[in-house]
Amino acid sequence: MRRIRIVLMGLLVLAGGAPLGAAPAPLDALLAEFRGQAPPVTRSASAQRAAYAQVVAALVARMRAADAGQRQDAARALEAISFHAGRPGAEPERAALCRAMLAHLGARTPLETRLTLLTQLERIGRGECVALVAALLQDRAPRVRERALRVLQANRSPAAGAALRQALAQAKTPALQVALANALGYRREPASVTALAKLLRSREPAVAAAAASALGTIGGSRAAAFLATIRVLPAAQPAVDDARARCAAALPDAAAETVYQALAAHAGRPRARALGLTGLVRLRSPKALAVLLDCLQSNDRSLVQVAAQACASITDPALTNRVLALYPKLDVPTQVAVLAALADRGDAAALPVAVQALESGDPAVAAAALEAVGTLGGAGAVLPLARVAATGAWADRQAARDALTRLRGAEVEAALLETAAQGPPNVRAALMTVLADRTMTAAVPLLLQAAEGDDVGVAVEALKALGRLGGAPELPALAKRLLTAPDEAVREAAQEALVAVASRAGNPDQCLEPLFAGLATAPEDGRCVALAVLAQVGGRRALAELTAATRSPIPAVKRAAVAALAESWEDGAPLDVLWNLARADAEETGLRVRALRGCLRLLARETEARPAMVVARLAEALAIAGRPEEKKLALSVLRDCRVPAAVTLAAGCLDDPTLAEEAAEAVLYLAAPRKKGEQVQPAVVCPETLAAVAKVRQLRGETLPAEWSATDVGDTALPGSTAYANGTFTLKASGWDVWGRADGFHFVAQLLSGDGTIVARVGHLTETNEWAKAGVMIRDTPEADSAHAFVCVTPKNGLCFQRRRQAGADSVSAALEGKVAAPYWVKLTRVGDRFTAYASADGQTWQPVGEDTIPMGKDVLVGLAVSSHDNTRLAEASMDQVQVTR
Amino acid sequence: MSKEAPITRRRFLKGVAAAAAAPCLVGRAAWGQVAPPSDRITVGCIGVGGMGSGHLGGLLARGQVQVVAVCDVDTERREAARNAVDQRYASDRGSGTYRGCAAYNDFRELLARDDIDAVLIATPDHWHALIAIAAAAAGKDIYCEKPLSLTIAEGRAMVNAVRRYGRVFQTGSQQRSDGNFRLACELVRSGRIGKVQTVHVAVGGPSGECHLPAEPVPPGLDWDLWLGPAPWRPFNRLLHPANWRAYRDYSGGGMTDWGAHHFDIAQWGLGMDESGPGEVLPPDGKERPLLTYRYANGVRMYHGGGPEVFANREGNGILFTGTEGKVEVNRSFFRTWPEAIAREPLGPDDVHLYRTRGHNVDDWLECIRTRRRPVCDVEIGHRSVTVCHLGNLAYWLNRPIRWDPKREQVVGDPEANRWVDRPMRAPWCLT
Repeated sequence: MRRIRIVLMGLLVLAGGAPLGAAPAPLDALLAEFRGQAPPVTRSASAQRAAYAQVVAALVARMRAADAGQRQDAARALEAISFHAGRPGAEPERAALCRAMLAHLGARTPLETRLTLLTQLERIGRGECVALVAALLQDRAPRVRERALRVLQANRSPAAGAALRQALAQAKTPALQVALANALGYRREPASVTALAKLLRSREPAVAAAAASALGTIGGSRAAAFLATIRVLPAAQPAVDDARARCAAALPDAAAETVYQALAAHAGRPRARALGLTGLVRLRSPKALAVLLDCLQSNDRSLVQVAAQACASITDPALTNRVLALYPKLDVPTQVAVLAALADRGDAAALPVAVQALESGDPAVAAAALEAVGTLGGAGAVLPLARVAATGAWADRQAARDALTRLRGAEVEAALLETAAQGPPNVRAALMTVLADRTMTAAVPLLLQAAEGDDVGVAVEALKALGRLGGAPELPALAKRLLTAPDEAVREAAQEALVAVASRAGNPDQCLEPLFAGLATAPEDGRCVALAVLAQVGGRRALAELTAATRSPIPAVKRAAVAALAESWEDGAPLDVLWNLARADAEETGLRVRALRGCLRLLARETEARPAMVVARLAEALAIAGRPEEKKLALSVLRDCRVPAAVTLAAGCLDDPTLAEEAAEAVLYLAAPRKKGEQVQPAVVCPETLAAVAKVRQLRGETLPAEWSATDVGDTALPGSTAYANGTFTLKASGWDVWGRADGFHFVAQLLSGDGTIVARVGHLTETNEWAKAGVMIRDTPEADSAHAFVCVTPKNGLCFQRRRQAGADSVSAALEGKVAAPYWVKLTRVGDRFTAYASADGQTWQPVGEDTIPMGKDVLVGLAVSSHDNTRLAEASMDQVQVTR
Repeated sequence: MSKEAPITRRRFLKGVAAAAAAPCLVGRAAWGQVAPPSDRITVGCIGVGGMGSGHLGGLLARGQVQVVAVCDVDTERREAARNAVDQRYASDRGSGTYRGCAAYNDFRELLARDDIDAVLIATPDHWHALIAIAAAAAGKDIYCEKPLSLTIAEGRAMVNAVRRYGRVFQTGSQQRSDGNFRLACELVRSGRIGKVQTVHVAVGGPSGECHLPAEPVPPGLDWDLWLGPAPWRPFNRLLHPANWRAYRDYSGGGMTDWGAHHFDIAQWGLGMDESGPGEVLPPDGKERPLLTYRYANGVRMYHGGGPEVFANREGNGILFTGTEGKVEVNRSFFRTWPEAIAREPLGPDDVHLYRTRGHNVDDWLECIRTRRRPVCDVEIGHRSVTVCHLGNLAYWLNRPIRWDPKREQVVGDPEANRWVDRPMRAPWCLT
C-alpha cells in the first residue's frame, strides 16, 4: 500500500511540474497534509522536521514571487499550516514547524517574509523560539524588533520571560523600557515583580506608569506592597492608584480593604477615592458607608456620581437615614441620582423623603421622586401618588397613574379604596381610573356610590370606570343614573358606561330592560340619551322602541330617535322606517335630511350583498334629496355598487354641474378594477362604461390613453396630475417620498395581471429635492404602505432600485454604480414574485441594477411614479417611450 | 407591567407617539455647585467618521446634551465635525457665531478635560478598549460603539475598569432599544415557543490577515495614532477611511460587526448576558454545514442559514426555534409560528425585559442621571462580542473550541487560548 502511494505521488510530481529543490516528498501533498486537508502520514521525528523544513523553505521562496497574489497565497498557506500545527496533541509538529520558520529569520530574508514568520511564531512559538527571537530585539529593522517583542510576550515558555527581563536590565531608552514593562505585565509572572518595582522609581513618568500598570496586572501581595510604598512622580500617580486597585481585586478581603481605604483617603485625588469607594462597596465592607457619605459631599462631580450610585449597592440598613440627612444639601443632579438609587435599594425608610421630593420645584427631582415613590410603594405611597395623578403636569399624571397601577399588596388596595372614598374630589376622580386600570372589581360598590354623588368630576370618572369594570348587576344603577342625572356630562358618561357594559353582557333585550322600564317616566333629556343607547346596543325591543319614538309627539324625542337610528344602528333593519321619514312628505326638513343620511349610511353596508337594490334606492335618493350634500353622499355610495346600473346612474349626473365632479369620480372608480384587501374587484365593463368614461374624459379635457388612470398615493399635500401628449407623460407630483414604511407620490398606472415589463425614458425631473424621484413602479395596491418595486432617477443621487418587500415594512434600496441623471432609461420586470430592475443610457444596452423577491397578488398596478420629496412643492417629470408588455 | 399586543403598524405609530410624550426624567434643571456653567451633559465625541458623525448629529439634536469637543486622527473629518457642531449651536443661538467646540487629534487631550462628563467612542474596533478604559479612569461616562472589543481580554478589562471607576457604560448594540427585538426575546424567555432548541443567527463572516501593499499616508492623517495598539504597518487606502473591518488587527469582520447586533439578541433571548456558549464547532462540510455553538443547557446556535431556514428575505436576522414554536426577527421583519404566540399579550408573570425610552443614546443619557446600568451595559456588550470572537477563532483555527464562560479561557488548547488576549504595540497596554 505504502509503495503504491509513493509511486502515485511520484507520478503526481512528474505531472505537476518540477519539484522545488531536492524535495523528498511532493510539496502539494505535504501542504494539504499540514493544513489538515489530507490524512497525516506517519514519519520519524527527523523526517517530520525535514518535511516541515521543506514546506517552509518552499513557501518562503514563494513569498519572493514578483506577483503579489502568489506572495499572499504563500503567506496564507503558512498561516493555515501554523494554525493546524498549533492544535492540541500535535506538539512534535508545532515544534518542527517553529524550528523550520526560525531558520529563515535571518537578515537575508526579505522584511515582509520575516514579519510573516514572526507573526506565526507569535501564535504558536514556545521555548524553541526564545534564544533566536530574543536576539532580534536588537535587529536593525524596527518592525522586526516590534514583532520579536510580541513573539516573546505571547510565548508561554518561562525562558521568554527571562529573556525579556534580561532585555529590560539592559534597556536604555524610556520607550524600550515601557515596551518591555508592558510585555512583562502581559505575561503575569511573579518573577518580574522585582524588576518592575525598580522601574517605579524611574524619573520618566511614562516608565514609572508602565511599571505600575504591569505590577497591577501581575498582582499579588508583593506587587501590592511595592505599589503602596514606593513614591512615584506625581504624573505616574494615577497609574499607581489604578494598579493598586487592580491588585486589591485579587487580594484576600482584609488586605484589599486596607488598600481601598488608603485609596479612599486621598483627599486631593478624586479618581483614587472612587477606586477606594467602589472597592469597599464590592467587598461589602462596613467601612464603605462612611466613605460614601464623605464622597457624596465632594466637589468632584464624577466622584459624587460614584457615591450616589453606590447608595443602591450598600446593604447597611443605616445608609438610608444617613444619606437622607445629607439629602437637602445635595445639588439637583445628585438628588436625582440618590432618589433613583434609594428606590432601587427598596428601603421603605426613604419613602417620606421621596414623597416630600414630589413637591420639589425642580421638575427633574419631582420626576425622579415620582419614580421612587412608585418603586418603594406601600400604602403610604397611595395618597402622594394620587395627588400627583390629580394635579401634576400631564406627563407626571400619567406616570403617577402607572405607578399606582403597579403598587402591590392588600394594604395598598385598602388604601386605594379609602382614598377613593374619602379623599378630596380631584384625587378621588383620578383614582377612579386607577381602580379600573387595576381591574379592582372589589371597588364596584364604591364606584356606584361615587357615580351617584354630587361631584360631577368624580361621578363622570366613576361611571367611566364602571364602564370598564361593571357587569349586568350594575345595569339598573347605570340606567337610573342615565335617565335621571341632571348634568349632561354625567348622562354622557353613563351612556358610554351602559353601552360598554351591555355590549359585554350579551342579550341586549335583557340588558336594556332597566332602560325600557324607566323610559316612559324619565325626564325628556334622559329619555333622549336613552334612545341613543338603545340604538348603540341594538336588539329587537330596542328597534321597536325606537321606531315608536320616531312617531312621538314630542319633537325632541322624535329627533333623538331618528338621530339614533340614522347614526348608530348597526344593520339595515330600520331602513324602511328611515326611508319613509326621508320622503318629501315628511314634515320637517332637518329630520328628512337626517333620515336620508341614515338611509345612505345603511345602504353603504349593502353595496356588495345587494347592489341592484342599493342602486334603485340611490336613484330615488338622488331624486328626493333636496341638497347637493346628500346627492354627493349618494354618489359616493354608488361607486361601490359594482353593477352596470350604477354606471348609468352616475353618468346621468354628469350633466348636473353641482354633481359633475363626484359623478365623474364614481364613473372612473367603477370603470377601473379595485383591490380590496386580498380581492380584486373587476372593472364594471359594459357599453355604458366606455361611453361614460369617454364623457368624463371629454368633460375634463383629458387625453390620457384609456388604459391608464392617475391618482395620488399616500401623504401628498398638493394634488398631483398627469397630462399626456404625443407619447409623453408629464406628471406633476408632491409627496413626502417613496420610502420608509409608507409613501406619498403621484402614480399613473394600469392593471397588470401576472408577469410583465414596463420600460420608460425619464426625460427630466425638477429638483424639488436632491431625493425627488421619477421612474417606473410595480405596486401591489394603491395603499400608501403597499409592497412595491420602483426603479427611479433622482436629481442628485443617481438611479436606485427601491422596494418594500411587504406592506408596512421598511423600504430598501440599491443604487446603480455612478451618479447618472435624467434623461435615462429605466426598466422593471416581474416574473412571478421575482422583480428585476435595469437601467440604460440609450434604451439599447441594459444594465441590471438589482433584483429581489417581493410577494404580491396576481393583479398589480404598473406605471409611472413621481414624488417631489417636498410636500410643499410640485415636482414635474416627463417620461416617454413608455411600454408595458405582458 | 406593560401589556404587549401584537405588532401592527398602527400600534407602532401609537408607540412612537407615546414615546414622544413620555416624561423626560430630567428637564433642564440647574446642576448646582459642582456643575459646569451649563446644565447640559457635556459630551466629547471620539472618532467622527461614519458611525461617529451619525451619532454626533443625533447628539446635536438632543437639547440635554452639549457637545464640547470632537476627536479624530483624520484632520478632514475632525474639522468637518467641529464645524458641524459650531454651526449647529450658532444657529440654535440665533447668532452666527459659536466657537465652543474643541477639536483634538489625540483622545488623551480630550479626556484630560475636567469639564467633559461623557464620551461617545466610534473609532475602529482596535481602539475601543484603550479609549474606554482611559475614559473610565478619567471619570467619564461612556457610550461605545459595537462591537465592544477586538479581543475577549479587552472586553473583560473594559468591564473591570467601568466597575472600578463606577461609570455608566452603554454599548452601541441599539437593537436592545427596539421593540420588535425585545418582544422576540420576551416571548422566548416567557416560554412561548416552549423549550428553546436552536437559534440561527445570520450575519457576515470573519476577518483575515492584511497583506495590502504600502501607500503614501494622505496629508492630514496621523497614521501612527490610527494604528495605535495594532502592529505597525504602512498605510493603505483600503484601511482608512473604510474597509478596516476586513482585517484581524483592527476588527473581527462581519462576524463581530453584525454579530454584535444579532448574536447580542440571541444572548438576550437565551438569558446568557453573564455567560456564553461552552463549545464552538467550525463547519465541517459534512454533517455540520454551519458553525455551531453549544450552550451548557443544550441549546445549539448556528451561524448562518439560508432561505431554507429564514423566512425574511434579506437572509439576516435571528430565528429562535423551540419545542412549541418559532420566533424570527430582524430590523424589518417579525414573525412567530404559530402566529398566536405574539397575539396574546405578555402577562404580569411573563418575562419583561429592560424597556428603554427612545434610542440607546437616550437610555444612556437617562442612566447618566440615574446612575443605573443601561440596557446594553458593558458586561452585556462584552459577553455578546465574546460569542462573535469565539466563532471567529473556530473559523480561523478550523477546530472545535471549548470555552469556559466563567473563567473566560479556552479549555485544553493553549495555542487557541493565546487569541483571548493579544499583545499591543507599545506604549499602548491593556490595564
